[in-house]
Amino acid sequence: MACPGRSTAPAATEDTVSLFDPLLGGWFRWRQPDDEARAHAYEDALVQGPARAASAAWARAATTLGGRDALSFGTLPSGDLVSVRRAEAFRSALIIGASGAGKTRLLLHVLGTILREGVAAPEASTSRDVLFELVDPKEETYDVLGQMLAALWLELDDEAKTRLTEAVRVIDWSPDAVTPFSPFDVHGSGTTPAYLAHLRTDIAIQSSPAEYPEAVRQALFMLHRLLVTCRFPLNYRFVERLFFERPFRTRILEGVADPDIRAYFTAVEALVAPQTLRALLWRVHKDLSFPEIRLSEGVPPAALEHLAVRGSGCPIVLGNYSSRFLPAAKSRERANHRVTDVLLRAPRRDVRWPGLLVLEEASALLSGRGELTEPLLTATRTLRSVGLGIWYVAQDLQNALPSPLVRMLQLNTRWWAVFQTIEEAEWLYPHVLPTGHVAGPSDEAARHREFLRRVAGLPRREFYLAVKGQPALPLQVPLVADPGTTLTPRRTDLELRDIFQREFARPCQVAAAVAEAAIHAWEAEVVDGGGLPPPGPRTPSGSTPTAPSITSAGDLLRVLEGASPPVEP
Amino acid sequence: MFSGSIWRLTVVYWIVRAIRCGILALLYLLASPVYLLLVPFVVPRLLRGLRIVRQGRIACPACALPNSLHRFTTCRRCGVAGYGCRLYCANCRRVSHGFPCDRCTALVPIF
Repeated sequence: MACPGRSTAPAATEDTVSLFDPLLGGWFRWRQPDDEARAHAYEDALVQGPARAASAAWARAATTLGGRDALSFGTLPSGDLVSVRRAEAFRSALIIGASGAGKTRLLLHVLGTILREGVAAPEASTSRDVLFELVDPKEETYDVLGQMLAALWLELDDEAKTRLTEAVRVIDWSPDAVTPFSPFDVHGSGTTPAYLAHLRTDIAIQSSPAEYPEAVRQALFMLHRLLVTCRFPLNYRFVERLFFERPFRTRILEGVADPDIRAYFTAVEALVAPQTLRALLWRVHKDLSFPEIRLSEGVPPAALEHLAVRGSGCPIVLGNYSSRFLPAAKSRERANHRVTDVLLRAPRRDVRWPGLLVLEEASALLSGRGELTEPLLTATRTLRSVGLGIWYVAQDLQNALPSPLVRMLQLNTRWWAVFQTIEEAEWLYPHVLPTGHVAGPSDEAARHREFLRRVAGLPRREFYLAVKGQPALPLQVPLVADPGTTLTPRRTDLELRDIFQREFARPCQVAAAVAEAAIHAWEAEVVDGGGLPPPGPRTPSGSTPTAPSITSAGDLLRVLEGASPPVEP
Repeated sequence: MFSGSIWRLTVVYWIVRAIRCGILALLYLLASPVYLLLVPFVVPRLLRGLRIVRQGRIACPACALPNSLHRFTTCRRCGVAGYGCRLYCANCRRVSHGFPCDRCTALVPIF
């Protein structure tokens, strides 16, 4: 045991010899057994006292944080489960730690609990009516959560299965099928065409590794304004004819009411150098050379209303923005567009149901100086009033982002879950209760260093949960079993992925052939025909169109030509 | 040559011990007038110190930190560490009249 009382200070008077010292020595010898017992008791209290006090404070904090609708976050060293009330848990938060430290396990544990409770108690409003959206640029969380959904689905009866599949929207891309995305559809976005065009332009520029000179930026912005105003998709042939064929441009502009857009494109040859237009055209061509992007963004919004695709209105949205099929910059751009859409709609959301936006790899999303950063920070600060919280899951936040941004996130988040980390451990230190003896200033510094060392080497799944106003709780994430192992008979990951794709992902996607046909039909009508398509029926946001479903390219062509498609039995 | 326990069994040991005790008693006897003169000054200080030792803790006069007298300490003379009163070393029988404060290291006088 260390000797806390050891001192190196000179002691001139303590060594003074007195004539009465032999008498005192006798007295001390007589009292020695009692003194030893008292010293043992004191040292025990010194070592165990703070630990006992910390345990008691953690237990008190756990009681304060818990409640009727609490979500479990992990277990204390004593084994007690710590749960956090949903009102607190669904506030904006930071989940920080090194790769492989357990951040994803925590997410899976909490989101899995929400899913299971929602399925188990479909009538209980508090557990069911949580809307959450996952934006996952690395696919791991998306993949395991998809398997969890598939495992849940297998355990349900037919009615509950239907309810569950209808509650989930999947955003994913593959060469066979894509989730359609209309970046230039202002309908339901809750903003103006010009602002939507500005946001799309800014995100496209910030995400792209290519350079955008000022003239190209302005041309891209005006192109986006035109697309938003006309409700057109981005299409290479359309842009080419718009820029370089005056009669075509004139015909398109006839249907545009905005005088600013008309004036710009009428005089575009005088305003913009041909090489600028060609540079922009090359960028459009490069973007659309990826089939997944061309097919998902190329389907016109009017045609999407006829496709039997599960769209908005689902309480659970899982988005896979990994770079499996797309370059990282394009995946990041898609994720940024999606987050922008969620934030634009957030102020008009129904406040009765708490909402949660989970941003995996948030530091990558926020690292650009794009338009997304400010809306995200503003949303973190203000969207509490509409019941939307944002969970930022990141590693090395302190170094990946500028200091003012990190400070803003620190200030505007309600709780932090800090896994194995180095820099962010400093944030926690003021909130950590001492569990050992502290005697002097040097011991305090040593304790500080020891804490930083401990957090830098925290075992996997162990983390500190710091809810503002409470001491930081040392927790361990409960083990999350592989979804297939909980089933009887056991299912492999591959089987569960197949089920997820079939039951959850496919209804939210359009087959590549159908998307291709829709794009061809639109090109035939607008690009080759040179006219504006009929605006088409606009359904209110969140409702499914009542038009007959289209399951093949032939059905779609018939719809676009004006004939009725076959009605599904 | 002899271990301690065997040495104590010898007659010579007891003779040496008796002589030492006798000399000590003689010294005390010779010094007794001096002791008697010092008693009025020293005894109150001793009683105060013993009362503090019995209480087991004292506040530092410099920083007011309550220091415990009974704890794990290291003797400044022989370097042996052990549990007990920090004013007395059970190994070398050294008696201290004060100790350094745990926080500010200022001397806390007891006797």
